[in-house]
Amino acid sequence: MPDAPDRIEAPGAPVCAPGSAMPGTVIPTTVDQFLNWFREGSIWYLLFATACCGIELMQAGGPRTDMDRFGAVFRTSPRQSDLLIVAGTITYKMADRVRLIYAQMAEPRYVIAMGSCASCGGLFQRGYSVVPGVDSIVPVDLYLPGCPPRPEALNDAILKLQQLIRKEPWLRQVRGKA
Amino acid sequence: MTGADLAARITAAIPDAVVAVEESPTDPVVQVRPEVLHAVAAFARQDLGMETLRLITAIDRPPETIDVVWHCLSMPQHRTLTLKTRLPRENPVVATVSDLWDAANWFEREQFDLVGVHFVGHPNLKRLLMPEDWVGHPLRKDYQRPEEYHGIPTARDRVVPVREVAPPMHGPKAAEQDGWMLLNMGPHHPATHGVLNFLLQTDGEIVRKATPDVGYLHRGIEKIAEMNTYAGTMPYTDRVDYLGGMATNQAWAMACERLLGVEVPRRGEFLRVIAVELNRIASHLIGTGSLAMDLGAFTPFVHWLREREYINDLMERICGARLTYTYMRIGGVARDIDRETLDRTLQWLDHFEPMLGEFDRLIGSNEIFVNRLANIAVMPAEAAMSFSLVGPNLRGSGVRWDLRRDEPYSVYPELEFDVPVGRGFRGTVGDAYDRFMVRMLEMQESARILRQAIARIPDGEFRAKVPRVLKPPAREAYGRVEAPRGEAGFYVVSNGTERPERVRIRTGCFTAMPAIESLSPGLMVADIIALIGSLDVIAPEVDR
Amino acid sequence: MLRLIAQRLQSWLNLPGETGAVLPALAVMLGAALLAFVFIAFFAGPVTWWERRVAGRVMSRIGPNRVGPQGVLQWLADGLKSFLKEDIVPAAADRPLFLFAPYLFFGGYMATFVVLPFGAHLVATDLSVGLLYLIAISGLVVVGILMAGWGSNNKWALFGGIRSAAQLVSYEIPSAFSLLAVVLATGTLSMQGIVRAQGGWPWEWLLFRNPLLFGMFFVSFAASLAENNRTPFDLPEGESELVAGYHVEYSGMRFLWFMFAEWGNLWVIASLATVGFLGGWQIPGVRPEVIDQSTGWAFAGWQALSFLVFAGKASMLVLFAIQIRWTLPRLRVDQMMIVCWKYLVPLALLGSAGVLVLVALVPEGSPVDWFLRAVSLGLGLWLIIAYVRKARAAYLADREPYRRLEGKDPWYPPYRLP
Repeated sequence: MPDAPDRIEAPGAPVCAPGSAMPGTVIPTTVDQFLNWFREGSIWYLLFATACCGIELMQAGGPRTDMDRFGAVFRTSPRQSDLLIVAGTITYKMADRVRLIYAQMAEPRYVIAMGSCASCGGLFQRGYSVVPGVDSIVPVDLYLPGCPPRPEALNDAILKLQQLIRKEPWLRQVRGKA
Repeated sequence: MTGADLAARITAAIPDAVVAVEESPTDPVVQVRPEVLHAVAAFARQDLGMETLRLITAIDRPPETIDVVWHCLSMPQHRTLTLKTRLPRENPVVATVSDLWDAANWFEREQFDLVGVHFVGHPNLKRLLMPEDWVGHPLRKDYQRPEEYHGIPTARDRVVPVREVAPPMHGPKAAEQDGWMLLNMGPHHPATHGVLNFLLQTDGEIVRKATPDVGYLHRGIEKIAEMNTYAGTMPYTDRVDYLGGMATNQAWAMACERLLGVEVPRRGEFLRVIAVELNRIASHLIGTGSLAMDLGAFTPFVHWLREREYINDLMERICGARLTYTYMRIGGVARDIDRETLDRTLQWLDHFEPMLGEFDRLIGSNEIFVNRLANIAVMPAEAAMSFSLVGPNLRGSGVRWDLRRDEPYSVYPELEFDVPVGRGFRGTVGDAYDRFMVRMLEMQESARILRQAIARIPDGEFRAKVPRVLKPPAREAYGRVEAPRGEAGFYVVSNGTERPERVRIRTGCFTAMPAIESLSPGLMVADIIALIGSLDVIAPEVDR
Repeated sequence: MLRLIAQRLQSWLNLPGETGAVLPALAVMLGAALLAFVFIAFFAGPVTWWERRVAGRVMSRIGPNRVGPQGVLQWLADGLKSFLKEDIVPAAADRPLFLFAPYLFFGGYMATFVVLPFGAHLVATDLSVGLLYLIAISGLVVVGILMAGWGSNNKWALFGGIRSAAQLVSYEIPSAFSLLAVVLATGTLSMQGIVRAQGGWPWEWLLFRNPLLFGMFFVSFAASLAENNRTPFDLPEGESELVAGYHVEYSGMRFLWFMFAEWGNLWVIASLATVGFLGGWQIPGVRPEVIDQSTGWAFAGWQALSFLVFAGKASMLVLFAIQIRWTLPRLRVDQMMIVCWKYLVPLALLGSAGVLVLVALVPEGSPVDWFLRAVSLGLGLWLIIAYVRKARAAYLADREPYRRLEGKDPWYPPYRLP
C-alpha cells in the first residue's frame, strides 16, 4: 500500500486538503465507502492449508465460527480469491509455489500470515528447511499469532481485514495499483 | 526369540556375518558386516519371515562412522529383528534392500537425502524431501545452514540481495510424449490434504502413473530434536501429526521412558488412554469427512467438523489446547482430569454413538459414495505388508494387526476392544471402501475403550517422579504406539548427555505414499483423489 | 456517431426504410437488452444468496448474513467486488478464445429467456418452435465451456472443458427425448401452447397425465441437472478434483459471467420443468380465457398472480436442486456416462414411445384417461408421503442425541451465532 496522499484531487473540483468540508471531496469518499462496503462483504479466501493451521482454517469455516457469515467463502483457484491465508509452515521447497500463487491472484489481494510459523518461522525457525516468516516471500497485511490460532482468532482477523478495506481510498489508490 | 537365537540362525546361514548382539526386551539388535548386509536381509525376509520393514535409520557418528539400522518385523510371529551395520563416514556405501521390501525404496531415498548414505543398486536414488538443488545432507552433525536460498534469507535478521530473475520451480519435469499428458496435482490442490504433490501421467481420464513428490512440508523435526532436550521435544511431536498429536506425544514419551527406565503410574496410563482415544475419534472424523468432501459431498464433512468441535472442547478442558496438545510428559501426563470432564466425555459419547448412524445414513451407505469407493485401488494383504502400510490402511487389507493388541503397551491389555478389519464390505477386501469402513468401526471401538477407561480409572499419581534434567545413559529405544494413521514411532539414540544423538520418526503416512504410486496405474483421475482420501494421508506425517 | 452506426448497420443488413427508423429501433433493442439483463440479474443473483443460506442450514451453519438485512445483498457484494477486480488474461492463453468464451456462455443462457413464459402474457416472444429453440440455443453453452477450457491453456481447465462437452452433448439426448414426450402429449412446440394444454389443478398437469409422463419428469430433471453441471454431475468444475474446472484461469468480471449464467441456469431448468410438466403459470380454477378477456387492472392482476404461481413452482424445484447439491457426492466420469447411456437414454426413448401410444389410444376425458391420471396422482402422493415420513423419522432420530445432551448440560452448543 502506498502512503495516503496528503492532497486529494477530485475531478472537476477545486484542490483541497483532506478533512475539509469542500463538496469536491465528499463525493469520492462516499463512493469509496459504498464500494468498500461491498468489497469487505465479499472476501473470498484461497483454500491453502499447508500445515497444522489448515485444520483450524477448516474449522473456522465450520458450524461454530461460520466465516460464510461475513461473505468469506473459499475458492480453490487463486485467480478468483481475494485473500491468501498462509496457514502454516512454509519450507524453501514450498516458497516458490507460494510466490507463484500470490502472483496468480488478481488485484486487489490481501495476505494473512496465520500462525507463528507463517509469521516468523515460529517453533521451527531453528530448522534448516523452514522459511523464517512468509513476509520474506510475499507482502503480508495481517499477522495472526498463535500455534495454531483459534478459529475465533481467524474470524477476528477477517473482521480486522474488513476494517482495513473499509479505510482504503479505493477509487484513487487500489485501482491505480491494479 | 532373543537376539542370540536370531544371531545364531543368521550365522548358521551366513558364516561370519554377525559382529555383535545387543539384547533388548522389545527389539533385539544384531550387528552385521556391511558387505553381507543384503544376504542377511534376504535371509531375514525369506527364512525368518520378516515380511515388513519398519524403518531404515542412518545415524551420523562423527568423526569415524555412520551407523545404519534396519528395523524388521514379522507380524504372524510377533517377532522383531533389528539389523545394524557400521559404515565409514568418508564413504558410506551399503547395498540396497529395496528389491526385498517395497517400503525400503523411500526409506533409502530419505536417508540418502538427509544423511548421505549411498545405497548401491537403488533404482532411483534421488533427493526425496529436500529440493533437488539443495547442498549438503542436513542430518550430518557438521552441517551448516546456507545464508540464503533462492533469494530468501534463512534467518529473520539477514538481508539478502533481491534477485531479478525468478528462480526455477521444483519438482520433476518430464516431456510429454506420445499421447499422454503430464498433470501436476499439487502441492496446492484442494484434494491433496495439505502440500503433497502428485505427478500424474494421464491418458485422458486414465492415469498411467501417479508419482508422489513430497518434502513441501519437511520441517526438519529430527534435526531440531537433536538440538533440544528430551522434554523440550514434546511440543514438536504434536506437529508431526497435527490430527493425532496425542498419539505422537505418547510415542515420544514412551521412547524416553524406555531410555530412562521410568514407570508411569496407573492413573497416568489411563489418562493417556482417554486422551489418545478421544484424539483418535477426532482424527478419524477428519479422515472420513474429508474423504467425503473429496468425493464432492461437502455436508458430511461440515457435520463432522461440528462433532470435532465438541471433542476440541473436551480437549481444552483436559490439556488447554485444541489441536497441538503437548499433554504427555515423560513419566505421565501434564495434569489431571477432573470428574466433570469425564462426565462430559460420557455425555458426549451418548450423543456421538447415534451420530455414527446419522453419518452412515448421510454418506456411508449412499449409493454414489459406495460406487465411487468399492473395488477401487485394491491393496492385497501381502503388498500391504511389503509396503509397510500400518494402521487402518493395513487393517483395511484384512490384516489384523494393531499395536494396542499385538505389542501391548500402556493399559490396553486390560481393556476389551475389537480390531476391525476390512472384509470386503461392499466389494473386494482391501479396497477404498474397506479402508473407510475400518475407520468408521474404529470410532465405535474407541468409544467403547473410552467408556471402559472412564469407568475403571484409578486414583493416585498421574505422573512419576522424574529428575528435572534428564540424562539417559547411552543406549537406544524405539517407542511406538497405534496412532490414528497407524504406527507412530520414535527411535531415539542417546549418548549420555541431555540431548539425543539421533531421533528418527516413523509415521504411517510415509509408507503409504509409495503405495499410491503402485496402486495408481489404470485408475481414473477422480479415483486418485478417492485413493489419497481413503489412505488418509496428511503432509506433515509424510515430510515431518 | 450513433446515426453513423445506424446507417452502416442499415446498409449492411440491407434493411429498407429511413435511417431515422432504425435508430429508435436500435435504442429500443439496447434498452430491452439492458432491461432483460437487470431482470435476469434479479433471477440469477439472489439465488446465490439463497443457495448459500440453504447450504448453511443443511450444514448446521448460518450462511451469509452481514451484507444487507440477513445478507440478502450478498450477491450484489460478490458481483460488484468481482467487477472491481483485476482482469487477468494469462500470457499463455489463447487470447481471443479466452476473452470471448464467457460471453458465449452467458449469451447461451440469456437467450433462453426469450421464450420462457413467466405468466399468462409475460413472455418476450412466443415462438411456434419455442421448445426447439430452447434446446438449440442452450447448445451455445457447450461451445462457451469448450472455448474456455481450451483457451485457458491450463490442463485442469482442459479437463473441465472436455468433460463438460462430453457430458452436455450426452445429456442433451435424454433431455430432448423427455421433452419430446411433452410435445407428443400436447401437440405443440410453442411454450405457451404447452402451458395452455395443461390446467391449474395438479390432475390437469402433464406430470400426472399418466404414469409414463410422471417418470419422464424425473428423467428430464436429472438430465437438466447434468446439463447445468449441478451435483451429482458437477464434474466439469468439481472443486476437489479439477480445482475449479473450465473457469480455473478466469478472474474478476469474466469469472462473474460464468457464475451468473450457472445460477441463472438453475432458474431456466426449473422453469422448463415447470412449463413442461407442472402446468406453468396456470392458476387453479381459472381458465386461461378468463385472463385473455380481462382488461385494465384485472388484466395486470391476473398477470401478477400467474407470475407468482409460476415463480412458486419454479422456486420449489430450485430448492430441490439446491438440496440435491448439498447432499450427494459426485459421480465419476465413466459412471456419469453410464447413467446417461445405459439408463436415461433408453428410459427416455421407451417413455416417449409409450406416451405416443397412450396419446394415440386414450382420448382425453375418457374413463381410461381418468384412471391413468388417478394412478399417477396416487404415485406422486405416495412418493411425497413416503419422502416426508422418511425425512421426519430421520430427523427425529438425529434430534434425539442432541436433545439428550442439551437437556443435561447447557454448556453445550449448538448455540445460534449472531
